[in-house]
Amino acid sequence: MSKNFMSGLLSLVLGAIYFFTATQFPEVTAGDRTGPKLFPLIIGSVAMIAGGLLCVLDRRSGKSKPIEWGFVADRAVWSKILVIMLLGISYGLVLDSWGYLVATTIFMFCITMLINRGHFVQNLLISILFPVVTYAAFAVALQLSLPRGIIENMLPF
Amino acid sequence: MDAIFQNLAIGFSTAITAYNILWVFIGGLLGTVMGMLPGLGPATGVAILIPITYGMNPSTALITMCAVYYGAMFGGSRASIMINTPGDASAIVSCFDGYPMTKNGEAGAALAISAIASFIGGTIGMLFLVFLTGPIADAALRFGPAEMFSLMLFALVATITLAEGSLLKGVIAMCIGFMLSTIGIDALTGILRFTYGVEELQDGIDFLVVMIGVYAICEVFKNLKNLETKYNLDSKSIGKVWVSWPQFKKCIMPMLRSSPLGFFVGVLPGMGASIATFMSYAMEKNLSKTPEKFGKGAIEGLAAPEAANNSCAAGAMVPLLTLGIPGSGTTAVMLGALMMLGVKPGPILFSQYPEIAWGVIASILIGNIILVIINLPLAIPLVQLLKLPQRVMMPLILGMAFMGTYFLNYSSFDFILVMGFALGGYIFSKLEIPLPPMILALILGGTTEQSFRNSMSLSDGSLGIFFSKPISVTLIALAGLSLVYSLLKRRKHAQ
Repeated sequence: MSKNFMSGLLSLVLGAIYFFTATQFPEVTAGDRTGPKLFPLIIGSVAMIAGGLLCVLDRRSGKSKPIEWGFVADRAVWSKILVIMLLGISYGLVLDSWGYLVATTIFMFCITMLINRGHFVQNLLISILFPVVTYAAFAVALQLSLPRGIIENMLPF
Repeated sequence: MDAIFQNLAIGFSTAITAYNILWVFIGGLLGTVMGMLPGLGPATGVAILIPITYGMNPSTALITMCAVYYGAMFGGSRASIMINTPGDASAIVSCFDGYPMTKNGEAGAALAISAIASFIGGTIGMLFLVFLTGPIADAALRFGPAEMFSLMLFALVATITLAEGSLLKGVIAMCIGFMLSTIGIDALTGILRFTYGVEELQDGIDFLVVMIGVYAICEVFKNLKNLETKYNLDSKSIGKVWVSWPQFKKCIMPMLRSSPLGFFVGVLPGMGASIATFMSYAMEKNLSKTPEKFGKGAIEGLAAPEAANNSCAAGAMVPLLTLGIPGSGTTAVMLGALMMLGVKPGPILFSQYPEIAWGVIASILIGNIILVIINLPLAIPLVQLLKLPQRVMMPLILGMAFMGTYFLNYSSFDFILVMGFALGGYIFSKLEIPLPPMILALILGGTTEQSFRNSMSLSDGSLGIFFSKPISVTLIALAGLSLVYSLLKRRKHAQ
């Protein structure tokens, strides 16, 4: 599938879902003549028209550029992206309960081991120094609130 | 004129405090490093460094962000000059003559003139900013909803037509931005829209979450392919970082010509610094008596775009400060960070918080002075950072990005959103869908919709309101002209 066709299709589908959802909103026009529906309906329509046009023009032009997803050639990149996403979401989920220092050390260690392979000592240093320096800068010096866990609760500041 | 000097005095009294100057120094240094590293532009730099502004008062926060922005503009060309790899798009032109100068054994002169031209460009840009912001903000105070809607429309159309690639893809990006902006409780009726039962979406999507996703984390995704890239940097051959008088003399006029050009390009929404630098380079090449030397190490070919680049950054502050419209990706991130601090840039900023508005303008001059001090004597130690491998930098950027995400709302749900937007940004780059129209529509979406609805209420549902006011008609006509011009240009290009 070409870049333009895929972009058009994406816009068409998103526009259609958006348009349909907007049609379900209740009619409320008290003090507001147009209500909450009209603007989203216009945006949904424009998205569908632009998407449709892009698909049609792409098929007619004969100069389509294929998408270079690189799922096979860049398999390593895609798998790293997937792991970073999972690590990032997990980090967000455990941050409050584990506390900033423990959660960030573990997160940074996993991330550095993924990206900076084969440099165990360097990664260990980054994983420890990053949370300590940022905690000192943000929680201690700038007095910003960071999640407190076992370690933070033992600290005098 | 007296009012301008009074305002400037307020600005300098705000900016010249030990605390603010310290942050200008820190922000400028961090920005220089961010701008210098290939793949990380000023927008990414500001997005990553947002957390450092969270504990600050709004004036210091904006002053610090401006310092980061300016630092990134100063630093962007370091990598272009030393390793022929631009730090960001606006530094591409600096490769044309900067790197040949390095190959000719003039790296020291190239680094020096790039810092000096950046300083001159930034200072001239600041002077224009001083004289233009007041009248524009005063005029904008008289805007009603119809004028506001037309202004937003013009900004969006200009961004779409100036975005690279297909015009339709720009429209698609804009629509997606608007879609994201309408998620949450409708401000006028209180109805929930597009939340699909997800409670966390009721307050809408914080656009800094989108920025951190599409600028900071997405940049890491894009760089995963080049983790092992090593640059051939020979810092011993740089020599003295200074320019001779004959070299400087050659650059005076190009710098003085390119600075106003860069400034006015920066004022227009969607016209990034990359356009300003290309235009100034082309202009100087056309005006030069020795155009054949351009591309082979002509010092004026480096000085002109560097001056344009930094005055463009000052120009981009005009729509941000006076109208609340970000003219570039970086100012969009700055706008988001300011709104988090409870300050909404726009014409009211100048009347309600003159110390913030003028403090920032004054800080640009102070920042420029500090940055030229950082970038001349520290040029050699700073370029050593180019030896830092991407595989070490990327985890640090991820760490800072997640920290910034947490500080936004202290919500784990934002981590899911930020990862989704990072992936979305990566897919957009694969499909060549431009990001600026989406970002601008997301930021302006709420105001655009409200202005539209208020206008329609005032006119009893008639679209005629947009064509009955001179400012509104002019802006709509400009939007139309920009669209027609872009269509004709693309057709000519296709032929």
